[in-house]
Amino acid sequence: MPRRRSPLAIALRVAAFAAVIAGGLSACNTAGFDAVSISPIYGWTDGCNTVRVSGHGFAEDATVTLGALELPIATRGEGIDAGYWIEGVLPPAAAARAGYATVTVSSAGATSSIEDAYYYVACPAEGNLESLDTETVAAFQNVAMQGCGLSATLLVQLTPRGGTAEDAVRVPITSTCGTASTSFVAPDLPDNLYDVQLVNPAGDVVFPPYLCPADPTDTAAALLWCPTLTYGAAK
Amino acid sequence: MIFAYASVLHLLSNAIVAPAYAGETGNISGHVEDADGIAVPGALITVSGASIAGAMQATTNEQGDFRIPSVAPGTHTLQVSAPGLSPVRAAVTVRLDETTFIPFKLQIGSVEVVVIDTPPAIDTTRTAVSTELSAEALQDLPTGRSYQDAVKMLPGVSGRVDTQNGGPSQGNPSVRGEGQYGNNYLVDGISTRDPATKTFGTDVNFDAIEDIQVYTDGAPAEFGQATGMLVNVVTKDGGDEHHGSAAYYIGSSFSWGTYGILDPDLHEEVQTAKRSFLDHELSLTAGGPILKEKLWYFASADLSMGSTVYEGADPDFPSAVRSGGGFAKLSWFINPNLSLRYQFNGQISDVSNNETSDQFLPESQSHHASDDLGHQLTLKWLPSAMGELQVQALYQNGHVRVSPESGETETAGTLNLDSGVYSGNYTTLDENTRSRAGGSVKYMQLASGASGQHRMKVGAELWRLYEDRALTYTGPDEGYLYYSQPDEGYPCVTEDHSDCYGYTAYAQAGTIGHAAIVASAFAQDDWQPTPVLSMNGGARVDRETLQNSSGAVVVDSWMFSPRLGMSLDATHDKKTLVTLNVGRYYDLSGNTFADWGDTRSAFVYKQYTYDPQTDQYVLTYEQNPETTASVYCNEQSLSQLSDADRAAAESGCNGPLRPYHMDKLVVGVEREILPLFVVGLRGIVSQTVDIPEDVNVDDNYFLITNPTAKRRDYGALELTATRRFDRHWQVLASYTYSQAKGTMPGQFEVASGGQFGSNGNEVGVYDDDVNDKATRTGYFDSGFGSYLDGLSGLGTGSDDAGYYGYLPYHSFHSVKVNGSYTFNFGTTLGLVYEFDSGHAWQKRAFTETYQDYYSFTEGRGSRFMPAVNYVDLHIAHRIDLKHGRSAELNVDVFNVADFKTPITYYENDNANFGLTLYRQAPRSVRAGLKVTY
Repeated sequence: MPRRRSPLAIALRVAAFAAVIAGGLSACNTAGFDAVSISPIYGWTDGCNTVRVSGHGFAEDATVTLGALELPIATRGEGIDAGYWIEGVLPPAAAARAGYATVTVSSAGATSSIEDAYYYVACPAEGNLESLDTETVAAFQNVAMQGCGLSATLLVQLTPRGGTAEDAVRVPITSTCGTASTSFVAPDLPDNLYDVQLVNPAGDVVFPPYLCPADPTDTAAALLWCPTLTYGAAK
Repeated sequence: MIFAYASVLHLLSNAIVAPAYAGETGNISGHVEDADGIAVPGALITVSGASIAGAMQATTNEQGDFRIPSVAPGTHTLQVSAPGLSPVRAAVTVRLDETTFIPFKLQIGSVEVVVIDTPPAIDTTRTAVSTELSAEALQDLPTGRSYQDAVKMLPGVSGRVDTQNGGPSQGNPSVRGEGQYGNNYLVDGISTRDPATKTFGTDVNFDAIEDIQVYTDGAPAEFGQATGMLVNVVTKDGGDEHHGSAAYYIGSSFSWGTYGILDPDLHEEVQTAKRSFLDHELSLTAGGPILKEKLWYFASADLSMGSTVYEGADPDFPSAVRSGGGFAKLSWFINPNLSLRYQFNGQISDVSNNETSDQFLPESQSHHASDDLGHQLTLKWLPSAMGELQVQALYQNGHVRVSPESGETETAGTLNLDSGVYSGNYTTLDENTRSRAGGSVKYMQLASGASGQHRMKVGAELWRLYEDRALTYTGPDEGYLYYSQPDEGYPCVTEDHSDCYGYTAYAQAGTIGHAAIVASAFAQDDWQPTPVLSMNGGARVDRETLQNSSGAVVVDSWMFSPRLGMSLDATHDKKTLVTLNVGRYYDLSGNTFADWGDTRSAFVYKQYTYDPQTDQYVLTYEQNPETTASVYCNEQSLSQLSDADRAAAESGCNGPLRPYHMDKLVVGVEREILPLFVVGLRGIVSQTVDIPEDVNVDDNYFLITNPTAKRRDYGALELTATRRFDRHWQVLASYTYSQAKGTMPGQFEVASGGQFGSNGNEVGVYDDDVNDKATRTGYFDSGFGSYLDGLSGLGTGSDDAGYYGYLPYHSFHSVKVNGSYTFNFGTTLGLVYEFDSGHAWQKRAFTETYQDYYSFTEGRGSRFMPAVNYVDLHIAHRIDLKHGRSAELNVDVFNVADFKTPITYYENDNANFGLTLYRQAPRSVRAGLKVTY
């Protein structure tokens, strides 16, 4: 007659079996491969901006396209972020058309798309300067400029605050990345506060497209961005 | 001479159980025939026992059938007698909400036959997934001493981690992906759910509980107003024999040292003293007859106190809890067919140094005091042996007062964007009163005929649900610093606020007064056309009318919920059950729904903007408390708009505002493979749709409608192994593979911020204003694209595509093994083991527009916490003190192995991302001595 197992023994076996199952299941928690988002969700057609595509399950060889453009991968998530995002800088000038572009991630033979996730904004004007990388400068220092429509045919014009066109100095700009990222070398100028403008080869001011107030404490100064560079301790 | 049999072998077959109903009783039915198989009409059936007032009697009809409804759960003595035939005396076990069916075969003669009943393992007529947790079964298991904690051992219930705040559970479990706001909690058959929060409305002293009946799937039409589970707590009664208990428990953390959790300022996990606590609880019960068979009493009192020092908190200021509970029940049996019962349940608590920030900041602690008082009246009338009328009424009133602990009110709240830490005083005095008044009428009729057996039930409910809330701002008079220009630094630090872009000020606007009227009706029939086939069909209608503080009707809903279940005894031996159940389930909106669009709810909002010309802040916007910031997609709300605004609003409405509902399909098979040991497999699929959402149609107001994208999807495969409790041993084991996905984890999104990264249940989607491509294009083309910065996770041009994903309480795999074994020498060992493969979490991106972390850049629930194991043990030894008295010494050890697995990571995408915010509760011990008589 077979020996009858006690209920306690059965219960312990059930618990042991459950623990084995649980141990085996602990590694089964994956959400699979999916591309979910892109940040930022818009940028100039000029390109050259960094975008991060997020999702999960990205293999180490994952690649990204925005519309017809392939995104050169610069950085991938590591450690706790491994497989969750990849970053790249959009190629300059683009072949991109203004409007929506679908983001597609290819990973380990699979693809995942986010339809119309990224929006290419057409550059509103030539010389659309958005930022300078510094507010103070010394002679011969390299100054980076970001924006769109920053054609290498343009010139940077530095005018001392309160000065006239005759006091202005013009220097050429160099493309760092297409028409979105450029730089110029600060000329050797006396200490002062200088208004920064972009002019075309004919000498017409293309940026700022508005008249900056001569008095920086003017109310309008709080509303309008008027780029300046300061040499020395000038105010 | 008496013959005793150890089984029901000499009955026609094993007992079977008929369809279940909510309530506090079970039922007995059966069939009597002679040795030749000929029905015996006129046989007298008598049921008696300590928990039955007097005796319940019935006689068999022409077909030899009998039924006895409304029998108290437990083991009773049933006697069958008929002229010329040997009488039979049987011990019959009646379970809550079940009908025990026993067929008798009487022999010729006069010698009494005694039968010891073996309760059935499978109810082969049952389609719903429900579990009964009896007090005697629970006392052998290591569970928390609350019904909310006990139900967490059931399959499909997620409750170990508080998915709202991230830490160890706070007592509101989620079932089948419906979140902690989807459950309905009944006490003795009537809902006591909190009308505002939609979580449990009252505690019940644990030693006053006789049974807990839990429906996780396929509840019949009698039950409504929940898309999650339905928990029915049945309290003890007096009985004709005196009984009672006195118990003392002491609980303490039993783990020392430190473990690594997030220090938000250092941006790393640092070794921090573990949470420590010391609790005391005294529990007393007494019950018995005042007049035998006429008037019973039962009373229970609980007193408890304890203090907890949370991780990283100042040990000189522990969170201290003092609470008490009183329960009393009087049962009057006016005559054998009419009874009246009154019961009172009161719970009070006082918590000092209550943590409100999740970051254990001393200045943000609050004092929390509450009381809940409930009065319940139940009348039962048995107009015939085949019918039962039950009338129940309940008045429950709760009061909560939350006030600043420190009394210091001059430190404004600020959010450190680098660390994500919100700091500042707790600055609200919150006086909240909630009440539930109403009742139900239910009538049940048994019938038999050529078409088979019927059990028909109709009923109606009427409720008034009320909330009154006064919020008083106790913070700085100057207001709450709001936001500054990002490139000027954050937060505003200068005394004159000159580095700020603007700030807000609050002024008291008045109290909230929300009232809802809920009326319901249902009809159902459990039809057994053949002995092997049962069909449970029914439907219910609920209507909810909800007014906000301005008297506007914000919800006026009709909810129709059909239910159908089928069960088949596939092997014709009462050992195999195949079930199919499909139904629609609605939930009430709840009074909090009215807060949504109610600008009077707390404060008037003012915005000041810095004027550089005058170097002063000037008032640029002041909210009018008499106007609403939200428009509900119903006629009353729309009719208050101008024609042009109404046309715009209607274009954004997805039809009239509707309550959300869930459709669920459950298919299962069970087989009894050993006596009382059942294994089963079931599949569950459900979808919840029409979840309301506020949509920003323009800059002036939000529109509360039902976007089609808002939904929850749940699917599960579940294996179960159950050995019913028989005073000796029990097993309740399950493995569940499930997926809980959706766009919103709770009822609706709540505009609560979410600075700490774990407030998953309240974090929703705030990007409705860019939910379509045309709107987004407009932002880009008009040069306002920067407003969309941080809205990564939007994914596509369709609404919320990036936010559909695994919800906070989701985990793929769950294994639960609960069991106990009692040795003959009186020692009991109990085990609760749970494995969870890790709940979902995600990275949340900073959204410039809202100055907070609102969007799910990688999708909702794209990441998973580590797998977690929980092991709890129970050891008890019972000593028989004779004369019906006993003493039990018990020790429960929770988290025996002292696992320290992280259960919540920081979610916000800053320097703290991915660091451990909470770990499993450290090992703790509870020891108790309980004397019963």
